Amino acid sequence: MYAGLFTFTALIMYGLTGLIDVVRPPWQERESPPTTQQLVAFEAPADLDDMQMAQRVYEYLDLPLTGPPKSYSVSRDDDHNLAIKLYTPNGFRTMTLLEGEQQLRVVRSHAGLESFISGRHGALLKYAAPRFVTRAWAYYNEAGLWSLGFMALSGVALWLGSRPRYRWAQVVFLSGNAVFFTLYWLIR
Amino acid sequence: MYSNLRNVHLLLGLFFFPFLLMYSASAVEMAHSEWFPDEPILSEEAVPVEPAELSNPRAFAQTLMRARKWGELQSVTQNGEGFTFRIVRPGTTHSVRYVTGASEAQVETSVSGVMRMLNRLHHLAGFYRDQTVTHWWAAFAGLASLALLLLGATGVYLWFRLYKERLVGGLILSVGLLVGVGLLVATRLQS
Repeated sequence: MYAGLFTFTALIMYGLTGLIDVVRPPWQERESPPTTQQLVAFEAPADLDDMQMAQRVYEYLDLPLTGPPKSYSVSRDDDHNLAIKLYTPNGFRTMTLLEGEQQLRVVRSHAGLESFISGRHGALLKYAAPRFVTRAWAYYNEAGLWSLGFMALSGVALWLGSRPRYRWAQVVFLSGNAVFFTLYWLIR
Repeated sequence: MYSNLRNVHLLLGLFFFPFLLMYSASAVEMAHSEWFPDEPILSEEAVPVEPAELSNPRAFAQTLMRARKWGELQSVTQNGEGFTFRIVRPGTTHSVRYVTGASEAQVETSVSGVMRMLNRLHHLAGFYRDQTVTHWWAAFAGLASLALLLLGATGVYLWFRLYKERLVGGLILSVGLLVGVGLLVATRLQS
């Protein structure tokens, strides 16, 4: 009970995410979220390679909800400008280095609430950006996912300890397991 | 009211017990994948290719799918030397290779372990896939999600009716809400 009360927010979010994901189209067919664009002055050092430059841009912009760029986040666009695409729970941030103009073009994509909720339900410690707010949520989320399993198991234990002969409970428990394992077998 | 909601809470929890346990276990697997090294079971077989399928990998894929090797067709390549493709469904991948001139294709099947399978099931939501069984899964995944919301609501009500637990439970719920909602709002407000 206490585990459920503490992780109540996470559990409600898991339920909402499940409902969202059932009705959402596949990601290829989803509408792109709206974006805003901003130009930021940035003097690019001439002696850095693309990864080092991406790191410099990341440090310069000090984006709060994302971690340092990985190799897959860094590319060159059609005009051969360095492009850095970073995930945040609120949408992607795409930075393009316009070296000739000594500017950074920062495009912010504004993820909808459903993408935000879905993204937060999957926020794991090993991927969390190195900021307090993201790491703290990842710890809370970790508590939530353990709590879900603990509550499921303790719920069955409480039933068996208190009303094991309750006929409806027996029927429902067996039915749920039958449905799950049948689908598991059919899908496998 | 209390007695009815207690039964609803119990029955919902018991019916969806395997689903909720699956979501929790697979989430732990995703969070700590290093704890669960996947060792898929590999097998190989030769499957005869009909003349009409020799230059049509999609037609051959359909034949395999009818023989319970169903899934999504991926990575089709075809050239003068033959064709390759994969048929993928949660936890199982059939990799097919046909060499021009042969009468049989080699089908290598990789079946993941239970934890990896649970991981795939965790991600199997939505009604946009073509197989009926995945629609059934999507329906129960949706019902399990709805059940989780109802379990949360009835759980809070049942706790609140336990008068001697109100103080401690109230403190824990308040701290949890403060932390959970607070972090979500703080994250959403940042750019």
